[in-house]
Amino acid sequence: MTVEPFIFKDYVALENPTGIRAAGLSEMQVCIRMVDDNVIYNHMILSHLRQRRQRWEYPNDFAKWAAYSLNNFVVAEALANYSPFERKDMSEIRDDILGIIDEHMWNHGGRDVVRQGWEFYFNGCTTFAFDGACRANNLRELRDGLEKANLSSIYYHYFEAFTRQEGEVDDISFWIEHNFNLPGLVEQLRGWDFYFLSLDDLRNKIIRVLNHYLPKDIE
Amino acid sequence: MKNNGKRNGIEAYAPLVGEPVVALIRKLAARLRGARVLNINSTREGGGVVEILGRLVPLARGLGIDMRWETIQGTRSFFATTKKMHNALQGNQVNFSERELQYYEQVNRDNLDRIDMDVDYVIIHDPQPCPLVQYIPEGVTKIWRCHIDLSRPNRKLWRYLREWVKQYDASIFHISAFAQQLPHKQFLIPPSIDPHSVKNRPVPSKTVRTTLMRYGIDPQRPVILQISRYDRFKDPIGVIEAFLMVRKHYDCQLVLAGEQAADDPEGAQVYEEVREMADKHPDVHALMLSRENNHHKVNCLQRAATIIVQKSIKEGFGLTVTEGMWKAKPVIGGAVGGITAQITEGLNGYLVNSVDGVAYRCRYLLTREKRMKEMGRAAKKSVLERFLITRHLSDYLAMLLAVKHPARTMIEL
Repeated sequence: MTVEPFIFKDYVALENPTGIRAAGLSEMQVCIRMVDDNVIYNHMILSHLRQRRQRWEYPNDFAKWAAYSLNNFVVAEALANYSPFERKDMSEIRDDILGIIDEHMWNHGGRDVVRQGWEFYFNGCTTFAFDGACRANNLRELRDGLEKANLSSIYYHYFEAFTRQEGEVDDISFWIEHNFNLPGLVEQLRGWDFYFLSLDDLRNKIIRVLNHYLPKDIE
Repeated sequence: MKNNGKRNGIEAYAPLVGEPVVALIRKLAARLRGARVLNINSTREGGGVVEILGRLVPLARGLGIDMRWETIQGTRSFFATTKKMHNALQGNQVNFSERELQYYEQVNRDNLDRIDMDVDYVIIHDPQPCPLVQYIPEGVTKIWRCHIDLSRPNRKLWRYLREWVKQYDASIFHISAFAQQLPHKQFLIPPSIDPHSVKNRPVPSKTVRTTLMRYGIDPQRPVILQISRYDRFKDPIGVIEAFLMVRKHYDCQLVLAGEQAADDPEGAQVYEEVREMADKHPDVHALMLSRENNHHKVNCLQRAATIIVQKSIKEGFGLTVTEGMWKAKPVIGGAVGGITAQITEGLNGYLVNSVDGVAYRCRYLLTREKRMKEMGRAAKKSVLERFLITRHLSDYLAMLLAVKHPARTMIEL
């Protein structure tokens, strides 16, 4: 069986502010309805790339703002516990976030506003993907490439892949599935609650699993 | 110096940020090889913009991009008006006469003959040269780079300036809070520091000690330090008031140190007020740093500091915060502008909102040596990840590519 090489992509993301801001949950609902899908992507998914290795308590920008600026930990917890990767596209994610905020306001009210300067600022993003220097033809080369890759490359092949790949899977398990007969490895790579992993932790986890398969199945 | 090219080029950063980051920058630069990029600001002396351009321009040139840097020239009265503008854009209630605004535009027009704009991109920094946009030739990509806190600008002045800003193809802000509703694409690019610069590279402890003694600062006692221009927005008087509260409980010293930027005529007056207050207290040192070797002095003072304070009440970004964090110091910063983007409360520093806040956090930290060390380590790590010149350069290169495709959000290269 001919193995198609895995091409590590390099990835760069820039944020594009829209000038739109929300001071409380009601304003946030209005703004979420009007902004582009790209803005939702930036705050719900791309937030992982910005956090990189940093210690974080909330996985997306909406939850982080609700906790640290609005001091509304109930809605912050609900927004943090939401898994965007179970949805097909950004419009579904947008509806779900609106639903979470709506339910919170129905049950708890939500007229609180932040003080000046602590509003939520809505930003879109421009992303760049291009072929990196590294290619892998087998699992050993894949592991070596992962060790050397930029964290933004890990983001691209995992988090970004879910919004790009048909079947909503990451690039790495997709490549292994289509080039090697290793269903156990594919299952392990897809079995994590990766939304809560930092990019560094995710990289280390993948490498650990690959190491486990290397001596037995490849050599 | 041996091997000068390698020391000054992008390779010099690989041991700090990693080879993959440097490789990524090279790839982005390759897409822009030969592009002619002109930066225009209003001074070559003093301030964060000068430090950044002083490093970004040679790095970009080393990567094959024809990047240049020019400054506009103005009179004292022009800079008095632009300083007033700076204050108004940061929220002060100031009125401008028709004559002042006309003169502002005229000085920009007068600079035209001095600047060759036969380039692919022009990046105009801050409000001083903003009206130059009308003279940039057709086909050149025009970018406005704002380095100041524009979160609550004086409405009248912003309405005037917005007419110029609208004519650009894109604008760049430090943080989201400064962005405005504009008819073109905006980018967020926080500024950065250069870890290899005279201001940030490692210094032997003996040199640090000698510098302290030269200024009459006791190396044996804790030092609370604020480095910044003498500017009311940096609230040096508030820092002295906070220090006097701390001094009642701890035998420590306060050092305020700054230099005079060429485009800030108000600085000398503020310095006089600060010095008058400082002269009444033997443990308060208000230093006006001379241009000569001042970056080295700042480096030594920051390394000698026990705690670094930046009690700004408005702040574009606060590179002195970044510098302090890079030196693994606990930083207490005003909860404003770009400082909030750098300090995560309690993790890598503290954000404060008042004179009492500064005093309280100084006293809190002075009793917790271990906490200060942990905080300093976290601070250095966050600068390494987010605020070094390599990230800045990478963002700039990506922005130059993105601005040519304003409608696209995903660009495959």
